[in-house]
Amino acid sequence: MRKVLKLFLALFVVVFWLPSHAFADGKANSCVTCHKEIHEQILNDFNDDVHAKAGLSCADCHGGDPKIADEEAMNPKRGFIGAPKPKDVPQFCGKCHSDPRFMRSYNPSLPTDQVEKYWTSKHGEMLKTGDNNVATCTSCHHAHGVFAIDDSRSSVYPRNVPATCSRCHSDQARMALYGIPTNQFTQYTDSANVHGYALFVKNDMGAPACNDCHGNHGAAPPGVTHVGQVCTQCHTLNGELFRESPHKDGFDALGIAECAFCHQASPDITNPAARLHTIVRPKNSLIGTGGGAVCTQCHTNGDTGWQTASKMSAELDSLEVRLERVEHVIELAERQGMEVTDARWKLKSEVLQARMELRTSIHGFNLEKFLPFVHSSDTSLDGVEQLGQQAMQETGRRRTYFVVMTILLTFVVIALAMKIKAVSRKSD
Amino acid sequence: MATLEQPDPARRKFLDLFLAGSGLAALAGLAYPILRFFTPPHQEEAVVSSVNLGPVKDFPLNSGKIFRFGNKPGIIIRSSDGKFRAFSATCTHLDCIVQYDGKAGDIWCACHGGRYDINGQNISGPPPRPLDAFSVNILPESEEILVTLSTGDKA
Amino acid sequence: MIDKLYNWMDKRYKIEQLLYFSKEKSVPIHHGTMWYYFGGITLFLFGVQVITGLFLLFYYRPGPDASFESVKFIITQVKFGWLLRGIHSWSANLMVLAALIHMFSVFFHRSYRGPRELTWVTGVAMLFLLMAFGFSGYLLPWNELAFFATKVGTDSARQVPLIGDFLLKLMRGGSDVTGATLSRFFGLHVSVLPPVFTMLLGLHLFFVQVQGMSEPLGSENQPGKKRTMPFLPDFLLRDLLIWLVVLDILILLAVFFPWELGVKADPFTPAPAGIKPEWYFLFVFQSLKMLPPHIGPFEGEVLGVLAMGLGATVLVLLPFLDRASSEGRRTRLLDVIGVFGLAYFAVFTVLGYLID
Repeated sequence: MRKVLKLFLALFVVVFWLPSHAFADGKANSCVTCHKEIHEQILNDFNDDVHAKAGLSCADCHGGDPKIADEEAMNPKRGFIGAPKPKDVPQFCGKCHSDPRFMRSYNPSLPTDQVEKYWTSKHGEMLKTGDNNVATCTSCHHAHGVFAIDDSRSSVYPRNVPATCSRCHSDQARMALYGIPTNQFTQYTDSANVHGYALFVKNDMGAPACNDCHGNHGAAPPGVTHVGQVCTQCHTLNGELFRESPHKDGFDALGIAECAFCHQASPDITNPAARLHTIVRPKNSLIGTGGGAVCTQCHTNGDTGWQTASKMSAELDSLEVRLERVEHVIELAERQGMEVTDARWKLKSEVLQARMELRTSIHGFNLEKFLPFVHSSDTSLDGVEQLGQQAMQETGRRRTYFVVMTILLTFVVIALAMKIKAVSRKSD
Repeated sequence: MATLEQPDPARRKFLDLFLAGSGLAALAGLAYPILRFFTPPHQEEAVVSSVNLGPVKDFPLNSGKIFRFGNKPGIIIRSSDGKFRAFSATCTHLDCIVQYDGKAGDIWCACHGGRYDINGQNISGPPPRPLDAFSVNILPESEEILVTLSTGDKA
Repeated sequence: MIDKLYNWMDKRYKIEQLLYFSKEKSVPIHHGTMWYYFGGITLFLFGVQVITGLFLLFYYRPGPDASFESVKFIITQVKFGWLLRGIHSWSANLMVLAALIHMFSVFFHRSYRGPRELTWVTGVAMLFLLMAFGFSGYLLPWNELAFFATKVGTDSARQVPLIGDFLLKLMRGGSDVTGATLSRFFGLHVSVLPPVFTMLLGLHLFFVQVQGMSEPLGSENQPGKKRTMPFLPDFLLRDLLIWLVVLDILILLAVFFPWELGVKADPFTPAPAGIKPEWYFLFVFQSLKMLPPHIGPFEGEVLGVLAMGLGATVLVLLPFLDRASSEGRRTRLLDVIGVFGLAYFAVFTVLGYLID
C-alpha cells in the first residue's frame, strides 16, 4: 500500500508540480515549447539574432505571456499582438526602436529616428496609402534573423545592401505596378561601375551602395537638383566647383541628373537616365569635341562651351603625352642602372598630384579656373623632365669614360706589342 | 743569330718611355674612378630610417607640410599648441596624398573626403585605417626636427 | 730604374732565387700555344674579382634589411659604384668561361698526364670552388631573381641520398632561404672561399712554374726543333697585353650591358616565371628537370644528382684513370667523351634558356 502511495505521489509531482515549477522560474517560454515545431525555421534564425543576444524573446515583440502554458498566453488582453500586418510593421518595430529611453538601456548610440524617416520615404508614403507591397522594416532587415549592420551576415551590411534592395527592385512584375525600371542592380554590379567594383572586388566598405545615395530609412531617389549634393559627400571639390559652374542651373532645368549624367556609361542626352547606376572611370576623351565626348551632345561648334571643352581636352591630352614621354625616359634611365628615385618622387608627389588637381578643376567648366592648374602641371613636369634628362646624361658620361679608357688601354697595348716585337727579336 | 740588329738604344729608350707613359696614363684612368669610389657620397647611408626637416622656426603654428621620407610622402603638422606630429601622408583609402586642414585642425584627403584627427585616427569618410605615425624629436643643440620611424617598424 | 729596384730587393730577399724557375721557364710555340693564355686570363680575372670585391665590401651591408638597399646605393649613389659592381658581376661570368676553356684545352691536350696530375686536381678543385663563389655571390644583392634561384638551386641538395636534408639545412642555415642563408653565403664568399682558393691557386701556380709548360700529347713526336719563347719577359708581356684587352672588355660590358638589380626579394610573393640559376649551372638544372620522376625503382632526381656526383669525381681523378696518357698514348674514347661532355654542356645550357 505504502509503495503504491509513494509511486502515486511521485507521478503527481512529475505531472503537475515539476512542469509548473519549470515555468515559474522565468526561463520558461511557452511560445517556444508549444510552437517549436511549427516555427522551427524562425527559432533557428532567431538563435543568432541581435535581439536574442540582448536577452529578448518572442513575447518582447509579439506580446502575450510566455509563462502561461496554454493558449491563454496568446490572449490579446495579455498584450498578445501576433504577427503584425505590413501596414503595422513600422509601428511594431518602432515600439522600441523609436523610444530613446528604451533603446538607451541596450545601445545608447543607436539612432531612434528610423520610423520617422521611413514615413518620408517612398516606401513609407505608399504604405500610408494602403499599398501592402512596399518594403517595410522586415523586408530589408528580416524578422527573426536580424544582425547588427556591421555584422557581415546582415542583409544590410554594405556589401549585401544592393542584393537586398534588388529583391524587389529587380522584380519586373512587382516594379511594373509603379513604373519603376528594374535595371539598377544590373547596372550597379556591372564590372565597369567604379562604386560596385570598389565595394565587391576591392572590399572597400567606404564605397557607396544604394543606401549611401538614396538614404536608408528615408529612401527616395535624390531629386535631379540634388544628385550633385549627394556626390559631394565624398567628391567634395568636384561637387563644389560644379555647383558654382554654369552647368548646375542648366542641367537642373533640363532635368538632367547633374554629376550622374556625364559620368554614367555611354551618356546619351536623348535618354539621360539610361545608365545612371553604372558610373564609369572617366577618360580624358569624355571632355572635348571629339568622338566619345559628352559635351558635343549639347554644345555646338563655336559656342563658348564648345571652345572651353576643346581647350580643356587639348590641354589634358598634351599633358598625357608629355607625361608618357617623361615616364618613358625615366624607365629607360632606370633600366640602364641610373639613379631615378628623385625623379620618381617628383613624379608622384608633384606631377600626379597636379594632374589630379587639373582634372578636378574641369568641374568648374571655366577656363579661368582650369588654366592655372595647367600651368602648375607643366611646371612640375618640367622639373621631372629635367631630372630624367640628367639621368640620361649619366649614360653619356659612362660611355665617355669607356671611350677614354679604351683609348688609353689601346696605347698601352700598342706599346706592349712593340715591346714584344723588340724583345722577341732580341731573343731570337 | 748575330746578323739580327739589336734595337738601337735610342729606340729602346723611346719604347720603354712610351710603355711607361701609356701605362701610367692607363693606371691613372683606373685610379680616378677608384678614388672617387672611396670618397663618401653625398647621401651617406643606404637605408632611410630618419629625416632631418630643418629648424623648428620654419614651421608656423597650426600648419602642415608634406615632406619626403625615403620614397614615401609624409606630413608633419604643428598644432596651435606648438606640438609636432608626423604621419605617413598616404591616405589609407586609395593612396592619395593627404593635407592638413588648418580650419578644422585635422587631416583631410581631397580625393574622397576622408578625414583623420590630429592623431592620425580615421574619423570620417572611406579611410579604413589610421595613418601610420612617425616619431618626431627635436635635436637639442640645433633645434632641428628629426623624423624617424616608430620603433618596431621598417622603412 | 727597374734594374736598380730589382737589385735592391734581390740583395735583401734573394729574388733571383725565387724567380729561378720562372727565369728558366720557356713556353713551347706550336699550333696550340694560344690555349696557354687562358690559364692566365682566369688568374687575371680572379685578381679583378678580389680587388673589386674588396672595394664593394666598403659599402655592402649583408642582411635582408640592408643588402638590397646597399647594392642599390652602390650602383646609384656611390661614384663609379656602377662600374665596380658591373665589373665584379661580369668578371665572375667571364672567369667561369675562361676556366672552362682552360680546363677543356688541358683535357684535349692531355696536359694533366703525369707528372702534372696534382696540377689538374688543384685546378678542378678550384673550378668547384669557383662555382661556390658564383652561387654564394649571386645571392648577396638579395633581389628576387637571386632569392628564387638560390631556393631552386639548394632544393636539389635534398635529393642526395641519406644526407640530403642535413645538407639542405647546412646550405640554407635553416629549412628555408632566409637572412640566415644570406649570412652564411656572405661569410663563405668573403672569408672562407678566398683563402682556400688562394692556397689552391698558389699550389697550382707553383706546380706550373716548377714543372714548366706541358705540350700537347703527341707533339713530342713532331719532327724538327721545338720553338720556344722564354716565359720572362716574352710570354708574360703577351699575357699582359691580353689582360688589358680583357679589362677593356669588362669596362665595355659594365657600360653597355649594365648588370640589373631588379626588385628586392620578398619570400611571400610567388616565384616569378622562368627562374633559372646562372648559366654555368643551367645544364645541371635542366638535366634534373628533364629526368623522369622514376627510373626503375629509383627516384629520377636522386639518380641525376648521383650521376652528377659521379661525373665530378671522375673529373677530379682523371689523371689517375687515364694512365695511358702518362705513357704517351692517346685514348680516342676520351676525346669522344670530351666532345660529348662539351656538347652536352652546350645543348643543355641552351635548352635551359629556351624551355621555361
